[in-house]
Amino acid sequence: MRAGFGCAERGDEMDRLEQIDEFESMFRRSERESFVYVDLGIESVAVVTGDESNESVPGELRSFLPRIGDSTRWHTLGSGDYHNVAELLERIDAQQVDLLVTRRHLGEESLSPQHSLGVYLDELTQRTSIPVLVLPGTSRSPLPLPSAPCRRAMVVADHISGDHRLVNYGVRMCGDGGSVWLCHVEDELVFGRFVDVIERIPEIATEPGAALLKAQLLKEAEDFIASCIETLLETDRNLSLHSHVGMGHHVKEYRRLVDGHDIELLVANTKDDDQLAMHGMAYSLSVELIDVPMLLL
Amino acid sequence: MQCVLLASAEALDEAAEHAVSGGVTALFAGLLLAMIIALALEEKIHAKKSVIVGVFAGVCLILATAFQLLPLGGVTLPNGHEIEMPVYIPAIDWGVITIILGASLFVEVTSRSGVFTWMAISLTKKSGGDPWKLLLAYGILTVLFSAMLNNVTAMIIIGSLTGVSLSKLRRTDLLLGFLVVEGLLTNVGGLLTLISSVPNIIVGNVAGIGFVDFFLVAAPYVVVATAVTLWMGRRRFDIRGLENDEERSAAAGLVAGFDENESVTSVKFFWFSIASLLLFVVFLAGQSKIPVLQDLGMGFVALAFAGIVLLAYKHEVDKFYSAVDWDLLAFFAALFVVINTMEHAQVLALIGSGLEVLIGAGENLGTGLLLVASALASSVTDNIPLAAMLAKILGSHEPAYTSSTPYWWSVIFGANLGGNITPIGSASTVVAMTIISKYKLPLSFVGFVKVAVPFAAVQIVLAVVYVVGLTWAGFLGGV
Repeated sequence: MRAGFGCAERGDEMDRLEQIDEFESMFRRSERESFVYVDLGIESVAVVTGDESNESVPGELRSFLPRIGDSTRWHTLGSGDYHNVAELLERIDAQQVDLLVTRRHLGEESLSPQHSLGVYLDELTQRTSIPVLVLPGTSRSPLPLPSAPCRRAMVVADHISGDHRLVNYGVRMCGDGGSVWLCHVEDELVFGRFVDVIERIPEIATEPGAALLKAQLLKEAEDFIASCIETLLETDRNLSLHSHVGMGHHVKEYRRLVDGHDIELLVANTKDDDQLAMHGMAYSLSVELIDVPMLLL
Repeated sequence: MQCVLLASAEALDEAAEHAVSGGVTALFAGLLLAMIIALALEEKIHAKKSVIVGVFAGVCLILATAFQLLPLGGVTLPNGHEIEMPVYIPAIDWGVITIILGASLFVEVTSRSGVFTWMAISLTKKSGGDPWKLLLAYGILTVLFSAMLNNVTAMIIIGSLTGVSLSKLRRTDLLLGFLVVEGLLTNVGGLLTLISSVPNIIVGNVAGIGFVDFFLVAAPYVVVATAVTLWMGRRRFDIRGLENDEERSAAAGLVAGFDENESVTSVKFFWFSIASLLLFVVFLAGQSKIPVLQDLGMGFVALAFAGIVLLAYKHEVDKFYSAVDWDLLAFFAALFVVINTMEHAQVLALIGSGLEVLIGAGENLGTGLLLVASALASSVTDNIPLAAMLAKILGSHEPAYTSSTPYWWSVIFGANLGGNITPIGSASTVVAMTIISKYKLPLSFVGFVKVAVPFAAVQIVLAVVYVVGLTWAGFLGGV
C-alpha cells in the first residue's frame, strides 16, 4: 500500500530516500580511516638481475636501506637461474622472500624498450604480493643507487586513504632521522571530466557541486594522512613526516615534488583490484621517473 | 486559544440546538469515511494529505452551509467585542498549529548544529561496536529523538546511521532486526512528552493535560515498553554481544573511526543549541505556572524559542521556512474544519454514542476497550484524524471529563501504539520499510505484520495494564 512494497507513489518514496541518503552521507563523511602502524619485517631479500653483474647490489642496498638489517638473508638470481617468468616465480616462491630487487627491462636489454617496464617486472609486481624495489635506470643502462642512506622517501598515491600497507612500507624504508612525504594527487583531468558531466546535469549546481566534490576527495586523503602522522608520532620511529594533498597531472606533479624535495625513494601501489594489469599511475611513474629508486607494492 | 475554545463551545451549543436529519448525518458520515479511506490510500491516489483533506473540508463547508448547519455570523471575543470572521477560521485549533509550527522550526534550526548526529555517533563509539550494546544505544536514542524531534526524523537519523555503522562492522545480517526494532520504538518514544507526537498535542490540548503531568504519566510506561521491546528484539533477531576480546577489539577499532565532531560546524552554535533545547523543555514544563506564559499558551513558547534560535541564522531564515512541513500544517487546518462540520452535522454525536458502548463497559474495561479500539483503528488509517475526532467527542462529553480521566490516555496510547501493527500504521514505520527496501532486505508487508504484531500486542497489553493500573491506584480517574 505504501512505499517499499512495490506499488508506492514514487515522489514520496523519492523524498524519503533523499532524506535517508542525506543522513547516510553525513554519517559516512564522519567515518575516519585510522592508520594502523605495523613494523614490517624484511628478513629475506632476492636480487634478480639479467646478464649484468649483481654482486655489488646487496652491498649498495645495505648502505642505501640501512634498516633492512644485517641479519637479512640475501639471494641472488641471475639470467642463468631462470628462462621465463614461470621459472622465476617458482624460484622466488621457493625462497620465500620479503623483498624483490630488480631493474626495468630485465632480460630485454637487446630490445631497448622506452615505454614499458619489461615483461619480468610487470609480472613480478602483479603475480606476487612481494614488494619490488626497482633500481634506478634499466638493465641495459643501470644507474647507481645513492651511496648515502635513504633519508627522503615519498609515498605516492591517487587514493591513499586506507592504504596502510603503502604508508607502512614508506616508513619502513626511510632511514632514522629522515623525512617521509605522504602524498595524494587527484588527477585533474579525471576531475575535469566529472565537472564536465556535472555541467550537463541541471539538477546539480555546477560550481557548488564541483567544489563539494573536490573538497571531499581531498578531505579523505587529508584525514587519513593526518591519522598516519598522528599514529607515527606515537611510535619510536624518529622521522619527520610531511603531507601533500592536491590536484594535478600525476607524472608532472610527482616529478615536481621529487625534484623539489630531492626524493631518494618513491613508494607506490601497483595493484588494482579491478584489473590484472598494473595500476595506471604507478605504471606511468615507473616508466617516466627512471632515475629514482622505486618500491612497487 | 481561549477564543477558539469559546467559539467551539458556542458552536457546540448551537449545533446541539440544530435539528439535523438522519439523512444529512449519514451523508456527512459517508464523507468522513471517504476521507479516512482516501488518507489510507494517500500514496495510491497520488495526492498529499493537505490536498485530500482540503478537498473534503471544502465539500463539507459547502454542504454544511447549504444545509444551514454552521453558525454563520460574527465571533464574540473574550472582551465582548464581536468580529467578522469566516466560519472556518475559529474551527481551527490554532493552539495545536502554533505548537507544531514553532516546535518544528525550533528543531529544524537546532538540528543544524549537529547535536543530534553528534549524540548518535558518540553513542555508536561508546558501544564499542558490540551489536547488543549498539541496539540498546540506538533503541534509547530512537525513543529520545522521537520524543524530542518527531518519529519520522528520528527514524531517518537512526535508521541511516544503523545502515552505515552495521556495514562498517560487517554485520549487515543484523540490519533487518535493528530497523524493525527502531521502527517499533519510534511510536513508543512518541508517547514520552506532550509535544512528542501530534495525537498527544491534540488530545492533551483538549483534555487540558499539562506538559509535566503528561510526562509523569507517560514516562514510566515508555521506559518499561522500551526495555521490553529491546529484550524481545534481542531474542527475535538473535542480536548478541561480542564474545571475546579479539572480537571486541576489532569492533571497537572500526567504530572508533567515526568522528562525532564532523557534523558540528560551529562549537558555539552547538552549545547554544543544547542550552536552547534544555531551556525549551524547562519552559514547556513550567509554562502553565509561569505568569504571562500561562496566558499565552504552549504555542507561544514554541514560536518564541523558534524565533530565538532563528536569530542565529537571521540572514537565511527562508531556508528554515521552506523546511517546515506545510503539507502537515495545512492538513491539520483542513482536518479541524472537517471535524467542526462533522460536529455540526451530528456525526461526532453518532460516533460518540458508539463510543459510549465501549466506555459504558465500566471504567476499567471501557478504558481498555477504548485503548485497543484506538490502536486497531490507527493501525490502518491516519492516527491524527482519529485522535482529533475522539478528542473532540470526549471533550464534548457531559458531564465533562477531567484532565485525569483515563479515556484521554486510552486514545493517546492507542493512537500512538496502533502504528506498530502494520507498516502503514505510522509514517516512521513507512520510513523503516523504505530503508529496509533500500538495503534489499527480505521483508514484505505481510512479513512486517507477522514480525511486528507480537511486539505491538505486548506494547498494547502493557499500555492497557498500565492505564487501568493507574486508574485502579487512583492516579487517574474522574470518569
